Amino acid sequence: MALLELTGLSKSFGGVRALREVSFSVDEGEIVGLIGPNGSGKTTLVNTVTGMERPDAGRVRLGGRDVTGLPAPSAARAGLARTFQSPRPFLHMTALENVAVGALLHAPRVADALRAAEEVLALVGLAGSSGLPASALPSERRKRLDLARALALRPRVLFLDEVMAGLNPSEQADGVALVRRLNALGIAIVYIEHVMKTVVTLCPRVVVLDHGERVAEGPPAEVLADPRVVEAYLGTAGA
Amino acid sequence: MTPGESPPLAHPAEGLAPAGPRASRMARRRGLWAAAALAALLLVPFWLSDRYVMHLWVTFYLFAALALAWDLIGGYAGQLSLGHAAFFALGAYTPVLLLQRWGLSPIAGGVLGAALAAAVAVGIGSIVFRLRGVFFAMATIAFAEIVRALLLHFRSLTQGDNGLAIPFTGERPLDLMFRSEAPFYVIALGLVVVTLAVTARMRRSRIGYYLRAIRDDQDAAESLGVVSRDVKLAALVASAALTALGGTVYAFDIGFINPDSTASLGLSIEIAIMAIIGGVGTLAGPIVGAGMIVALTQITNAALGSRGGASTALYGLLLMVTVLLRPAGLAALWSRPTGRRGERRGAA
Repeated sequence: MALLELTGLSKSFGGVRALREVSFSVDEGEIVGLIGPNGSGKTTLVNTVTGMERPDAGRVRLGGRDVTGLPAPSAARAGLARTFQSPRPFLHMTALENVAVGALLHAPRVADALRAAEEVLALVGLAGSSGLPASALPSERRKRLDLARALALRPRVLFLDEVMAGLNPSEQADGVALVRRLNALGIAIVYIEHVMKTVVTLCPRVVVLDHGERVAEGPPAEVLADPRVVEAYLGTAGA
Repeated sequence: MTPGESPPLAHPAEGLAPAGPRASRMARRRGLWAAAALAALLLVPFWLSDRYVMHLWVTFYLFAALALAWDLIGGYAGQLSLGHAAFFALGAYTPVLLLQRWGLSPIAGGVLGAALAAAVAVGIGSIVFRLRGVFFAMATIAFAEIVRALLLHFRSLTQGDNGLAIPFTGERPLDLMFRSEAPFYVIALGLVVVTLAVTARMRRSRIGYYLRAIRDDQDAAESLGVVSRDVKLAALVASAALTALGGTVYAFDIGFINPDSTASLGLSIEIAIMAIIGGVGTLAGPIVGAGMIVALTQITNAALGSRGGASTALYGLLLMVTVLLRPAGLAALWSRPTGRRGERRGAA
């Protein structure tokens, strides 16, 4: 049985239908790519599944449990974590304290949360920055910090929203290795990305969104050759 | 941190996380210093014979406690409340009425006033925390104005505008009636200590981490499992109860309360300004701010007379200068910014 199951998920903002009956599922331990042009609804999908937005219709099930429309804190408790497209660190807290906020979900005692946060920082390669205020971190390390906070929740499914954007090729290679490492820990990952090379490397299966609709699903090589996907990215010839 | 990149109420509260045995030894030494300072302050009434000067100390302590209590919600949670006078008024009126009607000791009455303020905070918090930013501030003003209007309206209970006087009927400690000002000195100082203890504990607790996270980015905090409404509510309840205790101390120190002296917008603003000028989100900030404003009021009143609002204009000026040049508050002038210390530790 699928770990995460989206069925007919829809969300509109005023007249804009950001998600139209999107269905797909993620298995235990899987990395699923979620791609599509800008404005195709990828981030809306993350927001709707993790509780920042409420879906208008459709269902979300996690491990067989209905988690549709749960508010964000409950979604986090249920095992859904996400990073933000542009990182949103708590600027006036140190890197360690940022991660401790997440770790407090499972370790109510501050001392335990700080210890757990230290381990997570080491895992994402930020051990050396733990005492720095988040405001002092450059953008690449802010992305790692966002990721560390989400990991501290010990999620079952992790949504990575364009973690590679703006990284140079060597940083991207590090990023790919890190995502693999997290996946090896047993965390299922929904990998949203524009950097296609990393999608092809990481994801055995991808889902393509266009105008809020799922237009294709399958192995990346097949999907990227699909005329509907080419059309979504490049527009119709002669249009 | 440069003033340019931080919002007006930003402050460097980083680096609260303790670091090893050295930190605990430092904490112990700091505890000893605090105990010594407290003992010294407790000796002040013995060589201070001037009742007026002693009353100034009480005023300073009272405002320091109020500013510290305000900081729990205004500073740590970053929710600009301009309605705290309402909690102060509840803390002032409740024990006075209970004493006059049923002869209840204001010690119990004060606790009941604090409980009432806490209960009101739960109710009002669940409404106003739906709002953010300016709208939140406006809603808190409206709330306090409603309390003031109610105090004016129910004349049979509160005497409206005329206020309630607490006649002095001799030295009765249980009724908080003392011939000397010294007991109020001790009581007000005690309130500061209690408020400081609550704040210090909150800072290092789970709620303290959550509050600072909410202040920086509420949506991100919620995505990490923080139920922001409950956390803000907890801070508001603590803040309201402590503010109410301040109202009780004020009422029995002065011996007279009316809606204008306890529930006015002016008082709400004054409390907030003290914390902001001194530096929100720090232990020293609100105390420094209270000291500055109380001293300033004395100086301007002596030099210019209390009429004409010269001191009010001066607060305004001081507030503008502080927010523009020192958004972290005046207390940050003589404490090393913790951020930089953190950097060095990180680099090593």
